[in-house]
Amino acid sequence: MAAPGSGGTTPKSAPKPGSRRFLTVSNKLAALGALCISVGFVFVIWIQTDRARAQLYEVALHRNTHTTELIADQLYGPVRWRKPAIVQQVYDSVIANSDLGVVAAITLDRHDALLTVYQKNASNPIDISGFLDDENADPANTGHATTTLHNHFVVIAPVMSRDGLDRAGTIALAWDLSSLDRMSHDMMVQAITVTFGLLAAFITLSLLIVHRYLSQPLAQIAAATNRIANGDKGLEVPWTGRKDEIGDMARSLVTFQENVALIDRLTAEQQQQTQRLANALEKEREYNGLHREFVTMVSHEFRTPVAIIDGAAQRIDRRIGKDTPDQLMERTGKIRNAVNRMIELIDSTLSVSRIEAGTIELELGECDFAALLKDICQRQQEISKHHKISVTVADMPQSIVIDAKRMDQVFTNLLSNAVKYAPDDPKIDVKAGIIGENVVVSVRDSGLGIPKEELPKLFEKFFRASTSTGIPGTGIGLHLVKHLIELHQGSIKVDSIEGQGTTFSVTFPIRQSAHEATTTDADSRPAALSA
Amino acid sequence: MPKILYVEDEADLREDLVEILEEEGYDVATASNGKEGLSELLRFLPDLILSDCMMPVMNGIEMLTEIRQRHPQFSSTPIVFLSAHAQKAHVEEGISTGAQHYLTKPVDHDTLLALLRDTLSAQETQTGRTNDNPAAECRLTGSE
Repeated sequence: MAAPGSGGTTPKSAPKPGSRRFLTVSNKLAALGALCISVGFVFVIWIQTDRARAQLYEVALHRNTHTTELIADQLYGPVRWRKPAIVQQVYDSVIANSDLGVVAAITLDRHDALLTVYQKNASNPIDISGFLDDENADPANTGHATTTLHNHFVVIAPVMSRDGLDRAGTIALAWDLSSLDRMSHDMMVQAITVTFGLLAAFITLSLLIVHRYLSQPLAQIAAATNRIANGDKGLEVPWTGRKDEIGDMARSLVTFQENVALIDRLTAEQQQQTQRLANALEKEREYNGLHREFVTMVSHEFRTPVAIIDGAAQRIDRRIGKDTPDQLMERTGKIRNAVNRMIELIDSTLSVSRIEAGTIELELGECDFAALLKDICQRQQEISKHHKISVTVADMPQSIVIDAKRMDQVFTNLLSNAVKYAPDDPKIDVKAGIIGENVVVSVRDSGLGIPKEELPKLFEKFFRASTSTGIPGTGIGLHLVKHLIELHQGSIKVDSIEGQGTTFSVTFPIRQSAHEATTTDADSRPAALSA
Repeated sequence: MPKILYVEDEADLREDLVEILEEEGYDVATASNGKEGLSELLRFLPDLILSDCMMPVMNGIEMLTEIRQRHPQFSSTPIVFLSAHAQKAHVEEGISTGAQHYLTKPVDHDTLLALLRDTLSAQETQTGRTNDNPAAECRLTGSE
């Protein structure tokens, strides 16, 4: 298919599919989607975690404030009477042995003098006395206050009598904030882990679905398109049954494929047509060339006998009264020979027109064929004195039915050809005999021969073999011979070796009685007319 | 006595013309094709060659080409073609190959004899003066 392409019309071969299989459109889309979703999730998780942390703080603050107030209630007596040991005892029993999460506590008396200090973890003491500097922790208040100090959460509460009239001192309890932070951090990590796990599963699933229902069909259709572009005509396009865009695309591709096939067929037909035209044109040109040559040769062939006649006439004219009767006879003989040549030429030229018109009809009659053949050979021998024509006739019936005049034309032609195309080789053999129901006559010369490749054209009108250069001739003789033999229901074939000679073999069926001839003649007429 | 080589494959024509030429007093040799013509040429050493064009084995044009290429000693020997090919293309081919004249058949004998006489005398004066290019004097005699 690519072969006939020329002049820049060679189709480009389609790019190989799959060289960038990973970067398909759907994969890129999926990746972009996953990225957007991930960024969104991270943002949402961050906001949610922050809010949860604030809630945790609030809950812790509420509980710790309550705890501080409860403890402050129990400490009124010991603080009022400045009994640090009892205060310490309360701390030890209430704070250390319970799960309140207090890491440090201090007690101040009513003059804000330090009464007790409690550290849950003595090896890592936390100094919370600094809260006194904090504006939020104004000890003059009767209400509680909260502050954060050294990453700790501190609640300060007044130690009040039950009636609420006497303020015996102040206590401050501290909680470690880092546990809260840790908790919220853990929550965030957990949320992110779960979210991204789910996201990964979701993306994988999406990719699988996209690959199965979008990427793969698209890739297959792309591959099919490539194969069609590269000339695969019998390919069955996949996914034509789907009722979506992919199906539409596949069906469009099928239409495209059909159009490609149609275009291919039309192109091929057009090429054939062009070839036929070119052949016809070539044949026409060949024929025109042959015809031109024919006209040239006919002119030459007519002028030669005319020149002979004219020459002889001029001689007679000039030598009136001087020529002997013998000389005169010789001159008239030349004139008559030349006239015969012209008549033969006229006959054969006319016969060719009649072949074309299909109007040659045989005039069949009984004939002594052996005598006819010998007569023809003798005539030719008289004209061509340099040649030696030998005739052998075997087993010929006394009389057969032929058109004697046409047969004369046939063998005169073959013999004059033999002489003409063997100018330097005098030996000509004519053999006639019977094979089965047929008369077979061969005419053999040892002359120039005919190139093998030209043999099939030899009987075409006006055709002359390349070896005939310089030898006069019109190219119609053999064409006429073949036609006349075929009118006798016979055939002619030629064997030739260039440089060694040529043999023509004529075969035609024997018809012996005039009666039979009439019937056969009737049969032959349509053939003659249709020829 | 001028010598004329006459090359012609038609025996009937040849015989007539030989008669006339001999009557006119020319020394005549004949050949029936170009190849024979070439060997006669070397043997006979003619003053003028009269030749047919279309002949078997070797035609007149081929013979003339051969003479002009291979036998420079005959470069000034005039050649007259006498051919049954009367088309302009044939005449031009004959003249361009180097013939002095191209006559077409049938030819008037008196015209032919006059032309031969002229050609031979022109040749004589020319070879008498210089050995110039004979083609310079060529005339287109025959045409349709």
